[in-house]
Amino acid sequence: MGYSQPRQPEQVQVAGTRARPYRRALASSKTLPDFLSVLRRTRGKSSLASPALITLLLPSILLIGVFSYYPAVRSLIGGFYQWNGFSPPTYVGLAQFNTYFHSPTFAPEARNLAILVGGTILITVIAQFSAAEVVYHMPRRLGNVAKYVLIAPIVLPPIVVIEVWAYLLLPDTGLIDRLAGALGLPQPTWLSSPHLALLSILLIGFPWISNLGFLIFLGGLQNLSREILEASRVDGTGALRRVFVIDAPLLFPQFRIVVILSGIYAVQNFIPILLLTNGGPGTATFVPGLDMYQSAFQNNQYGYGMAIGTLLFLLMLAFTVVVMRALRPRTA
Amino acid sequence: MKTKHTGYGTTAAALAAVLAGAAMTASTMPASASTHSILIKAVLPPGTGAITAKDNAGLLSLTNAYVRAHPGVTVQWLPNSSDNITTSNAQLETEAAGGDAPDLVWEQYGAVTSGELPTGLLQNLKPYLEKPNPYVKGNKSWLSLFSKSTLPYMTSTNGNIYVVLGSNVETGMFYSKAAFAKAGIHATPTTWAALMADLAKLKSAGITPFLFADGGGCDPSWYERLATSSFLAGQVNSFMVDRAQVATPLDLAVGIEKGVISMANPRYAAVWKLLGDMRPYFSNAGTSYDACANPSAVSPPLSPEPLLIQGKVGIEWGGSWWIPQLDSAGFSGKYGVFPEPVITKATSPYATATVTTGLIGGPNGNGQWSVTSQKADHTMTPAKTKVVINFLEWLFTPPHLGYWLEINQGGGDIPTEPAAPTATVPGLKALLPSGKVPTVVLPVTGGLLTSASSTQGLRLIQELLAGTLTYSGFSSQWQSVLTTATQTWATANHVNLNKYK
Repeated sequence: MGYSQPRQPEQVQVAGTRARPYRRALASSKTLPDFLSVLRRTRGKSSLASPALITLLLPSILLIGVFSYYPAVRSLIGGFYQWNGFSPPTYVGLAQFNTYFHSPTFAPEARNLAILVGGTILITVIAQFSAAEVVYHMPRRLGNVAKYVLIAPIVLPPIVVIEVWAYLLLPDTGLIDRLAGALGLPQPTWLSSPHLALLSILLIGFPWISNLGFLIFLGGLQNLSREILEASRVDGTGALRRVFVIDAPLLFPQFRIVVILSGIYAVQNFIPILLLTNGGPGTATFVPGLDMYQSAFQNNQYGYGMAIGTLLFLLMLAFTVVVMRALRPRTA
Repeated sequence: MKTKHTGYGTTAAALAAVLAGAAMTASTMPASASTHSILIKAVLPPGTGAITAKDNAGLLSLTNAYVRAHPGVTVQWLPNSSDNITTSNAQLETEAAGGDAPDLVWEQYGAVTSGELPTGLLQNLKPYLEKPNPYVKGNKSWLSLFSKSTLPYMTSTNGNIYVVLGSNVETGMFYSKAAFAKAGIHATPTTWAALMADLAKLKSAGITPFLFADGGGCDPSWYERLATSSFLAGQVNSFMVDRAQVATPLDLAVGIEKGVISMANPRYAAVWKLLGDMRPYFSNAGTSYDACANPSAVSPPLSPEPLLIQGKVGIEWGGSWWIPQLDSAGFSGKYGVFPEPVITKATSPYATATVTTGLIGGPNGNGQWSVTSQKADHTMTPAKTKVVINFLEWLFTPPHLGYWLEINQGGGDIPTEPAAPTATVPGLKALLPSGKVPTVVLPVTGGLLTSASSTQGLRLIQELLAGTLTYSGFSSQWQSVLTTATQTWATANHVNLNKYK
């Protein structure tokens, strides 16, 4: 070959001109309305009316509207109505919220939720950040292998993970009790003891690495400024000190997103509790999510369930706002 | 639910009966069925798989015979993957809200007779039950084919019948013969005091004496039913408004409203004191087990049967369906079963020494069906209703009922129609009542009033037995559950309880 035909300048310009406004709009917007607004400013109204753009967006908007926004809004409204799922709903105002706050299970539910959220955030952040640091400092090829090995279990369906842990924690016949018995150690009833049941739920997923948070931390570490890392090395900063004075502060945005995601996950994920303890023994593992599920789908108290759901939504919203403010990056 | 086993002893005879029944159909078919094609969507008993599964072989052959004899009628059996009536009914109500419920739905008497299901979802079957079953020669009323003890379970507070019940189960205490021998126990207990003494002997021998499986509602609701009926035997007349064999939800609500079923009544409080007294003998893993769980369950709640087989527990409280299950697991001859012992004054000053054999047994989840209304199922025209009822009559013809129940549960279930053939299962006889069964006071934990109160009650029992709730704490919270459940039930059923005071 040796000789290549130079591209026509006009063609380059045309292509670049067409692509640029969309890229700019995408880069400077966080939400769909922002994107459309920026696009409108840069391209004028004619491009918005593009049938192709509307055709592409409409199905997604419709589907999200029907399957996500409508049930959510319906649920927010439904909390104010008493409804058994079949007969016409009756408006009861805030009565169901009041009933929930005064129910004998409210206090244990709140306590259990606080333990689960706090515990989940703690173990998630520590385990996933530590794993990311270790992998980041490994030789490149070994690090890549370790990364894939650690993240591969993410493809397992959660139900499989729960069933595996059920087998491990079962009384008398579970693997952990069998091993303890073989070693002459006490065999606690992990899921039946009121003092151990919630801890057992937190244990599920040990060592808690195979999750999105690990990739978020690893990605953050890989994007740290080389100049800063080089400077710290020149200054003789030790590995451990570097983690606390350089890596962790620079990864505040990553910590923020992991804390928010794991907190929301802990509030929403009552499936292990439903499958392993059903909230018991007594109220030892009973949480608002399970109460919401049982009220709506077992006790036919759909309105009451939706009221609990609304409260959970508000709780998660408040939690997100607080974490966003508390963990915002602090730069000089 | 329960597992299968062999035992097709009466299959040939039953098949002959099926064929004989089929021959009668020409004169028993509703006129509409011969002219229109009708699809009946029916829900199978839970945990039995598809209609082609081994458990449902009897039902399939009966259905095929019916369809052959009724041109234009098709029956589509829908598998039932629910493991309890509450989740099953949640699905039903969702379907019914859109007018898309199946025609013949699996139900349980508690959910139906309590009025917990929305009014208008199911059809009143009483007018059909009062007419002859066309498949039974000389029959004047289909209702007369059912045992008298079954009728109160089928009847709702308003006198209507929304569910037909196909089979009964009995309960009893299953024990390991090896464990009894090790503890030096040579005879099964006949009184509760003797039972407590045997539990102490088992504990001394290093064996976990008793597994009270409170991870599900079976053992707790059985205990509540047994002890409440026994301790209140002398007071039932004060609240049994319907004067039936089995307390209806109305009776229970009146009993609570009058303060008889109340923690302030020492006789009723004795029910829970006795359970608390047994706590030292119970396994501390009870909440991971449910006496009604499938023995093949691998995640909680588990069936307690394997622990009995492994010799880890001395006594467990199970049902008649356990007999074929334990036998098929190779445990035949290594276990025994005895009826629930009598609670005498040696145990509590409030005991009435009522013989309680057969008191807990009753209709189970097998062969319990209801017919949906046109509001819940838009295809359910009056003409189709007649065909669906006719199909039910066919299934509930005594030889047919006995035939498919034997295949479905290996004889662990007892047909509700005395004329239906009953399988001979070793050990079953010991659990059957020999005399008159006392008046049955149904429990709160059985979901008679509301399923929410059932769930709350179960949690309180778990806390009492786990020791996380003191007796006084339990007492006040239990009373609150009783009161709230009564008010909720009365409001939902438009019942003014003041007139019964």
